[in-house]
Amino acid sequence: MKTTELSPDEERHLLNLSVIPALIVTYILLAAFVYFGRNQSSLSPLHILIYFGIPFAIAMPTTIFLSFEVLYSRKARQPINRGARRLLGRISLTLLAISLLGAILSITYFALAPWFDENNLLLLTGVLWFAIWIFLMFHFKEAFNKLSSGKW
Amino acid sequence: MFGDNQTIIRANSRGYAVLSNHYYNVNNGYYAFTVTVDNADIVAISYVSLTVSLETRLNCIVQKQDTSNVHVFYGKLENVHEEGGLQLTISVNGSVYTWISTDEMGLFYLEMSLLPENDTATTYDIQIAFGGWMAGSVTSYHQTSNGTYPVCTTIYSKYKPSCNVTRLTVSPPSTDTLTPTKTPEEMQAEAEEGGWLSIWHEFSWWYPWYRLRVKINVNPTIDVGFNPLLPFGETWNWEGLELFANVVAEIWDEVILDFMGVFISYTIAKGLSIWNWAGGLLAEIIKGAFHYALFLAEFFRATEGSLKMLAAGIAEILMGLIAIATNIGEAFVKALKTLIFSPAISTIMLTTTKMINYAAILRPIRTLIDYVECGVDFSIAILALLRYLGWI
Repeated sequence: MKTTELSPDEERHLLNLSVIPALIVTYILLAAFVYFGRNQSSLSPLHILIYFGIPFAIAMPTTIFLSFEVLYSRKARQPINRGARRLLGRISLTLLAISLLGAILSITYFALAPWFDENNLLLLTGVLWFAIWIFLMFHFKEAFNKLSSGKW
Repeated sequence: MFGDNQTIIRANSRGYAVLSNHYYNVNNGYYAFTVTVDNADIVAISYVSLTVSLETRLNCIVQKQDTSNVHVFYGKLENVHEEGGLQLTISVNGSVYTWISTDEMGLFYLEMSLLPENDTATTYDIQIAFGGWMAGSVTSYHQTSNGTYPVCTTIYSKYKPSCNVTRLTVSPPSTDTLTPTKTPEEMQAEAEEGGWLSIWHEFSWWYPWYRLRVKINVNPTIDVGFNPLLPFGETWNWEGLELFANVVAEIWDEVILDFMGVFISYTIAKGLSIWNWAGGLLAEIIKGAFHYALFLAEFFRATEGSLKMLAAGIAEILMGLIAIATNIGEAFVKALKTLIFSPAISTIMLTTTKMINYAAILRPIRTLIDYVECGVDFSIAILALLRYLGWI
């Protein structure tokens, strides 16, 4: 099969298109969650983050990365398994981000719960996650780039 | 005898015997008592009924927003020890209106829109009732040759039911008058147009050749046209913002707080995406997860007319517009600014405009982070406004 490599602009275009299935997945998740949770006025932000936020944070990037590989293989006329390494790298990056979130969440909830209410704990967890993620991205720039481009 | 224990007590000279038992901790269970009398030819059985429970008391305070008919009910279920999620039933004039739950401190909060009916003062009886918790009963029986008789019944509930009734009289506002600026025919035509969300496609011979038009019509109406892939050439139009200008002045601090949190994290994620696009995208998506978590917790608690929902709706529309194109967001802030006359709010709006201008430097082209931001913001905005209007 004759294969072609895509330019960065073409790749960006495909990535932008990949957001469409991801948004559809999100809206289905959201509609189902609101439908089933509409009589659950006692659901706390933590419950919502665990039951909806984390599945959303896994489903959305996974759909984007997978759709990108499908679109890429069609456009570049190459078998889909050529991009398996790249997909795997990006999924690992997603799992790293989610594990980091889980770890910070468990630490803040067990260690800081007596001093903060739930909304503030969640905001604090978000800020800490962002700070650590920025640090990791700058400190391990090469590893991040290798993982997200499939060159590992 | 109570439980499996047997206690022997002696009657006094007049034939009386006294047994006492203290429920130090109701978590340990509850008992019914059986009395057996030794060396007696006849056992006289006198039925005893006991109630074991912790008393509760429902306190409630009502506040009314100055410029709307939204009444805020908040208070505490007293004597509850670190047990959240106790259900309260809210009834209006004898009919069940909704159910809410207390938090771990026993606190509850509810917003309700109560309108004067037929433009005359209307009285509402608001009953907040707690139906008790962990109720049960146990009965002990005594067997004789003639049959089995109940001796003692203990009715138990961990928390006793309690109730609070508030009577409110809602009068029509005497000073607020609404002068329609449209003819009745125009208003009818608008109503017939119907639908709160319309999406259509628009093609042109010149740049950007194609526009996706999204119109959110929840009075006010917000109509935005943009090319999903190409920058510039956006169109925007809004009507009826003045209809909620008074309310916006009241909740503007909430709008700004909500907006700033989202805006700052969006800008950071956008900056990170320049460094590594996949890492930036993950930052944006996890930010979205937190954003949904904080919003949906409020959403499930809110009722029709909740100002928190209106504030969230406006903040999210503003943020979503910025994600499409910063100039639309800026125009939206300016449109609101002309309606609200307050030096403090003008300063806040000026700061907001400066922040939006700063974001323009970061985004010469629209990337998938903007699409994710836009999708999350508009989905939250639509949910918030529909909840505010009581449609969902």
